[in-house]
Amino acid sequence: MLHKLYIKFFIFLFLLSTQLGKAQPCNTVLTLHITSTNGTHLPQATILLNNKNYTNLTNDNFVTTICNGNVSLSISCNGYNSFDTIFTVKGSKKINLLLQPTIQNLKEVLVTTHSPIQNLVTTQIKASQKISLVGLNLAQALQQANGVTLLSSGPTVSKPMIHGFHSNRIVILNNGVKQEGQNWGTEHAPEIDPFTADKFTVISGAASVKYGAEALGGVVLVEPKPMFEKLGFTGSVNTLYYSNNRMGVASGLLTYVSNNNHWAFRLQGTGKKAGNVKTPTYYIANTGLREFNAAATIAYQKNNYQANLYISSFSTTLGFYTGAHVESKDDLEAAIKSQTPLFEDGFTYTINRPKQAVNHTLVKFTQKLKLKDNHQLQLITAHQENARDEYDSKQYLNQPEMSLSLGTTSADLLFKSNFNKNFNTEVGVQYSVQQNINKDNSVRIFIPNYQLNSLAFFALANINIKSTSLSFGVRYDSKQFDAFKKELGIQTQISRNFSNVTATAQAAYKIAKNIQGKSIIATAFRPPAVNELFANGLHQGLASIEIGNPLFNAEENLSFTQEITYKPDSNFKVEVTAYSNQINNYIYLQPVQPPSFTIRGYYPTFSYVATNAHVYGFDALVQYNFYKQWQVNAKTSVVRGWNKTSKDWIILMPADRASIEFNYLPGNTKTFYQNFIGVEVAHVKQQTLVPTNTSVLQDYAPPPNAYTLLNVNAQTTIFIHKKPIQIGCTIFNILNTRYRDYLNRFRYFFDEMGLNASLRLSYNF
Amino acid sequence: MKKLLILTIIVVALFSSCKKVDEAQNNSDHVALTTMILTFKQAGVTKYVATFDDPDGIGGNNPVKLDTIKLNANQAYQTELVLQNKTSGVIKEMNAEIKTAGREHEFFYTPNNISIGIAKTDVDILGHPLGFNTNWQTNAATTNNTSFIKVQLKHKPFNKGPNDDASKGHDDININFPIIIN
Repeated sequence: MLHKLYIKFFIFLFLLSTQLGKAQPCNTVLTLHITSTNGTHLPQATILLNNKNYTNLTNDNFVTTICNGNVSLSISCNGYNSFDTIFTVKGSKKINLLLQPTIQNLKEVLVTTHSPIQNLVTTQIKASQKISLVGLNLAQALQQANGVTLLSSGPTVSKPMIHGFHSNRIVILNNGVKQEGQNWGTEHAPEIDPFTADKFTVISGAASVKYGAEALGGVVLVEPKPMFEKLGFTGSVNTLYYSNNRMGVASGLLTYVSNNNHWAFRLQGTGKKAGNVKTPTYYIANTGLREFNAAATIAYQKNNYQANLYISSFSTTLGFYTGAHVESKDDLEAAIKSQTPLFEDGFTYTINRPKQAVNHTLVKFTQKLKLKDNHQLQLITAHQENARDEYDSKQYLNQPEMSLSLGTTSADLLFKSNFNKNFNTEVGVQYSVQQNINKDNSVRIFIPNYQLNSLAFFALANINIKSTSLSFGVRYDSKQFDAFKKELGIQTQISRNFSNVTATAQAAYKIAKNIQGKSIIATAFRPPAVNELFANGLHQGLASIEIGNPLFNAEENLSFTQEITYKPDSNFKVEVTAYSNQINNYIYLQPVQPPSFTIRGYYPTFSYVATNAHVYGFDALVQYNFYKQWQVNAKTSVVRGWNKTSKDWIILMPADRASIEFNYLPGNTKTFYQNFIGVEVAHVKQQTLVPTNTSVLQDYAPPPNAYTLLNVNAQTTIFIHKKPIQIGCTIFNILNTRYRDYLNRFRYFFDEMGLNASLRLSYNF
Repeated sequence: MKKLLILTIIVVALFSSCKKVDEAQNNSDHVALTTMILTFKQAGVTKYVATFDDPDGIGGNNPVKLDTIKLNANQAYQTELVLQNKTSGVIKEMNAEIKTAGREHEFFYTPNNISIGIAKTDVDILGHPLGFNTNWQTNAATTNNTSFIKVQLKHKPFNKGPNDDASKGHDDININFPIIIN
């Protein structure tokens, strides 16, 4: 009751401010009539008008009053392609908007089109709505989602960590295809150009049934802009500059849709060049990067048939800090002891050894066929080629010391049935062949040659009963590993087969007025990865010897997730997600004694061991819009990893963290639109829950201290010849705070990046 | 529709081409160093040989051999160092490769808990010390079991100079040979 009064009060203030605050007439009535292209009225669509979110609470047209002038409008609705536009309003008008249904593919199993309640715990990040994300790498952009942290190896390499899981325990679906790189290494970042994507979705929690074994920790969906949005030519140009490492980025996208709306073509390209990164007090030697990416798409649609051919190439060269590439235990100890880097350098764009050069090529062909009675068939065939060259700091010949080529061919067949609006099912078959080759010039063999054949079947059902939405799934996986090793001239073959059944049950329901709940119970299984089975040798960048165990069993996870959302209106939201993972055969690196004796002296030695683990935690989020122009977002996330066998904490779990963001949206002026200024304070605690067994070396150095960062973000839009140009500026770490992060594998050697100001220009046509 | 089906088949067929996954490579023919042999001579006659040997390289099994250097008191020795790689199952001598990259490499012999004179007699292409060949001058007899000679091959890709000490660059080799002077 009290709350209602508050709302009324705010509405009063809102109306007051609209009356008082504007010089322009602001009583223009805008009426939006939103329907799908097949005629269904969609009053439930989410409306983002001049950067403000609206939910239409009626079952009729959305009506609001606005000021005359340029208006930005973005409409999104589950199951439909979202629609963004900017137009000029002169006097009241009614606009009819048509949303095109997205052809259902794998990702949309989790979103039941007709229910207002979404299953699974998902966070969506739309690049076009949050321009400050433009230009970040994939992991950095994903960090915006609550529960996602960065696991990095120096400033050039970072990968997403979801609820304490990373690398082999996360699946990344790039444009519908599972990304297959050498993802076993913490120093191997996902090979995806974020500029190809319009939307990132993070699904936290076990999602193995839909996305395959290994999705123990979560799934990241990277999705491009829909092809058939607007007839003729459309496109965008983005340029960015970062002050810290003097990084320049340019990216362009051009789409053409034929007049009959049957054919669409798209070209996309990105170039990136950066030099050495500067901490608040010094430059870090050899931390530059170069990247060049290109992608082409041809799409065809007619009647009930859609086809899409997608080709992309991602190429990067990354420098690694020279002093971290140690060659012996003595070197390592000297590097850690030194408070400032042993290898100092000024600013340069030159990339020396040690470095990585990675190319990832993807060719994908998708076909969708709509059958009668809302049934649908989809076939995705794809091939990926991941070539990774690692150059050590020492060089005898002008060639990489480790050179791997990973090829993956996959075919996914999917049959989806919409029996009625409250019941749909999906069945699928997935097959893939993967081959990993050490090229002839490889000097270090860390991962052997291997072939992996995978076959999976799955079935899912979604049922809506009144305001409750239920989902059930089951999956069978079979994976055959054949590895080939050669030692002292003698070749051996090791073969393993892993098969298992996993299942999931989910419910989304209403607990009370304005309170919704989601509960998920899921099993997951992850076959040991190739490094966990077969690694045996020097992990060069980490100055340690790692030993795998070819006899490991698969990890088995039983997970529970509970989410509660309180959302009394579109201006206020509280969301809490708690999760628990009970994992048998959890595989991790354990130090062993004595250290290995080698020609380079003694190396710290780590062996992969399996234990029983409990990984649990929660994420919480509060969003509040007030006085029309103010927004506050606060979030916190807590993860715990407990080794049940050794009764000790698990190493390398994210420290507790919280952040709060204040945004001011002053509204449009005659020249500047969609104005926005935001300040973010982010705090990360010191990780104190680390393994306490001190009889063997568990970590080279204790976890770094807690830190607090202040970031500032501003953006505006101007119009040149009626086309919008977005201008954005972000200052990261504006106080130039010195800090080190526990999840950075190079924290032993140097501080994190200092102040970094960026300027972005984004032009859409 | 048929055309597209055919296209699908072609696309799949193109990508399914197989690699030679089942032919594993040897771990490094030309770079891995597995074995070090120190030969102590007087007037061209071999007096003693000390060997470090780890035929499967770093990782895997521990080294199979680490000899104690046994020399006589108050003697001068001309010492030669030989590096080998045994990972492929055949012995490959590595001295030539390191000498080719000599301007980036240097050996260091650091006595620990023993008094002994060791001087490098060979140089790289720039005239800077290299250390495959050394002169050793022993002093009084000692059989202290904590005495050793640390033999390091330092890699200094950008910064090798004429008068470096053992702290510069990083280790390609770092072995402690126990030593006894009779």
